[in-house]
Amino acid sequence: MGELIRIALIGFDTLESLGLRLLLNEIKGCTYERFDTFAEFEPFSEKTDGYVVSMGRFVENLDFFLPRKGRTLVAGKGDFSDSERSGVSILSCAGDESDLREGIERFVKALKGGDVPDELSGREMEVLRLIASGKINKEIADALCISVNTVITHRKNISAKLGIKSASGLSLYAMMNGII
Amino acid sequence: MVIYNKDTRLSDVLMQHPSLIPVIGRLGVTLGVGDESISAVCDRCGIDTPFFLSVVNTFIDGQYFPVNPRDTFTLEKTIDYLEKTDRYYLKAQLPNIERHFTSLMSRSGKDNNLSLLLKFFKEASDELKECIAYDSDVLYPALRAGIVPGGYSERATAHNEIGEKLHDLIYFFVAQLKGVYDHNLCTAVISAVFSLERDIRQNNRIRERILIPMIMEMAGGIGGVGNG
Repeated sequence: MGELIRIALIGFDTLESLGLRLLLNEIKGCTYERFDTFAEFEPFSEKTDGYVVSMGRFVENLDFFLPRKGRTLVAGKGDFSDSERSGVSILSCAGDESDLREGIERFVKALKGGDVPDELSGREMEVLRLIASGKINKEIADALCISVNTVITHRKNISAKLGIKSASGLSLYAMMNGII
Repeated sequence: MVIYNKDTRLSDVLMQHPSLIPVIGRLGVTLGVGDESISAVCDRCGIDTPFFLSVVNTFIDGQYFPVNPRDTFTLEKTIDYLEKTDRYYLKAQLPNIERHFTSLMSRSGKDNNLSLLLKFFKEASDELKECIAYDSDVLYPALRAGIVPGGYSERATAHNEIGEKLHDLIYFFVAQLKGVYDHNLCTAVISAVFSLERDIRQNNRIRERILIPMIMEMAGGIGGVGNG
């Protein structure tokens, strides 16, 4: 990209913000701005490349952050199991200093590389159609002349990209989006 | 993640993790715990403190594994806890979601795709009821009689799949809902589904880390798995 990456720090107290700023100051090529509330941040959301957000603001604004999970880093303390399950990157205060530094660096690097979840590939779309028509892994493998292990890998990637875990959820997604 | 001990004030734990409120209810503790420590509450309510701590810590912390579970958990205590959990799902959480969903449908007109989401919820709900029926009619009576029925591990997997479906249902509300709907009632349904999904997910840890190892040990001890 070459340009500066703009990062919003949303919902952190002064001490947490100081820590995050300290970490971000060490990384070249990014700027940041702090917002106490989501409402304060929202008018600037279009002008921001990435979001470092507290657990509280993340959970309250899932409909904003989940579709942008490739650009979101949930940071702070507490139970991260919900954000982990939704596939969002997390930065736990409980980690040691090098973990925190690496976590922030990885996040900024992903933003620079535009490394956000892709749309489904053509092959994944075919697998999704077969899942939605009720086929089991073996039948999908036979239909596409690939191994069962490859089908399992496609399924994992589809689930990761869509954020849907169950076979019936994938079927409903396919139906709602005109894929079948 | 903090691991709580017998000297922690229970009110602090509950303020930090409100999702534990129904759990302590299942364990026999009513709200209004004042500033009592966990051990004081357990003594007052006649609950075994190590058992209480193991359930609470397993429930809230995905990384926590009970120390010496065989010393802390008896089969009867574990089954009793899981039966109370199942009753809570059947009598409180599922009807709560259904009630909110029915109101949402009636207040939102037809110009939306809510009926697809309701159908998806009903499927997950029926599967959960089926799992609970198997546990209460087959698994728990057999275990109490010292028999390990076949197929119990597949059934344990089914509990996880229900959690995944409820997770997906929240996704469909968040990302795929179309048309006009009653915002307040929709939020109420999502909150209720989220609460059940989290409870199932956290409770599955107790099933996987405590009940299943007990059953496996029983199966080994009695020389194999029965036909159940």
